[in-house]
Amino acid sequence: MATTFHTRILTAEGEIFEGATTSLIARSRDGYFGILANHAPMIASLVPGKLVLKDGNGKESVFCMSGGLLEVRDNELRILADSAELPGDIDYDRACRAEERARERLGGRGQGVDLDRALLALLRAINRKKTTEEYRHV
Amino acid sequence: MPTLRDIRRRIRSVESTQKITRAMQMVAAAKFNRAQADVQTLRPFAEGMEALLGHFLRCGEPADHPLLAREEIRKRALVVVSSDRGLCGAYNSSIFRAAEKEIREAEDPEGVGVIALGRRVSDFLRRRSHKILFDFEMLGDRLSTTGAREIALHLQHMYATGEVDQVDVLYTRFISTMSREVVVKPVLGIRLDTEEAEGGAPYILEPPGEQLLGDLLPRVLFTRVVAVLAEVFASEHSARMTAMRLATDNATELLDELTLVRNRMRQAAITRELADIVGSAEAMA
Repeated sequence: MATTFHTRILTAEGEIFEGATTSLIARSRDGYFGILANHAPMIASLVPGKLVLKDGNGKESVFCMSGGLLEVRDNELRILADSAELPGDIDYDRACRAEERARERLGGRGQGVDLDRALLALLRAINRKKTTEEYRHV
Repeated sequence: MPTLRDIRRRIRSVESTQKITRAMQMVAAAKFNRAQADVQTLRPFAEGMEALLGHFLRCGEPADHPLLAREEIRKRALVVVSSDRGLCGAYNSSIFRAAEKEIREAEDPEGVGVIALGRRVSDFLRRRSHKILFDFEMLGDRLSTTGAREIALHLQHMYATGEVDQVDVLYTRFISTMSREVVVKPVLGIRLDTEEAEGGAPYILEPPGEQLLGDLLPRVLFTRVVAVLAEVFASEHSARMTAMRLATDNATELLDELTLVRNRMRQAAITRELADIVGSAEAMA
């Protein structure tokens, strides 16, 4: 039995990660879940959160995800992400501004505010901030 | 009969035109390289998305979603994609021709509403007073995922509210620098093929059925839009590159001809003057 699986993380802007992986943790609506080699075929929808994966040498990589889709079968895992960033690449100030904006919009109500969109924007901003804070000193 | 001075002026003007077309050719080449790179980076993402959709559909989960295909199609939206700017050969006119044909030959031409994407096409359709459902006006000249997301969201809204029952895109598919093809591609609604349900791998769906479909379909739409746009930019810039190369080559040819004429005329003038001098010298002798 294989102990690793092949992972590809793609966004519309390009490939973020590609390689052999021993474990991967991502966030779905129900919370964080893990994937090991020989996982049963699965399609999952991801929500804003962090994504942690371990490569063949035990090295851990963390990405900040703003949602996407994950498919795994035959030890091939593919994530089609809306966006995926390394914590070091995140513009922290921009995330703070985005959070403020989203909160304002949610607080304001009315005037044709798209609540779903504002809520998603808020979740993305909070996730960016949290991931940066957590991995700032790593 | 043009004088020598006219010919000289003509040569200068052709030369400066050639400088412009050569510069435009180089700019188009640079933009084309970027557009082609965008097409390539996008391909695995787009293929992955369609594969994932296919796998999901084969699970045969009974589900309902406003973006799925409808039984009755009363209103059909045709998104026609052209460029913002001209000077790209037959690129835009072949789009216009295909659009008119598509509308004329539709089962119900009255039921087809056009969504214009790119300034050229919105100008053209307005002149022809076609019914325009929506006009995005500017397209820009390079791929932006933010722009594609806006377009996808708008189409999604039009479809979900029932303003249209089907969305097709008419655009120029990029094959190579030498060949392009105008095609019509359906982007909405998405058909649930339960026929193929048997034999599919039993996928675990997280979250199950309908909710996952709700996360999946808007992303499929976005991916289709962004993939179309990537090809459109590659097509436009390669068309402009070819058109400008032809123009530059034509200018070279024209310059060769004009130079020949100029030299002949100059030689004739010299010969004439010489004949005059020799003639008058003889008369004095």
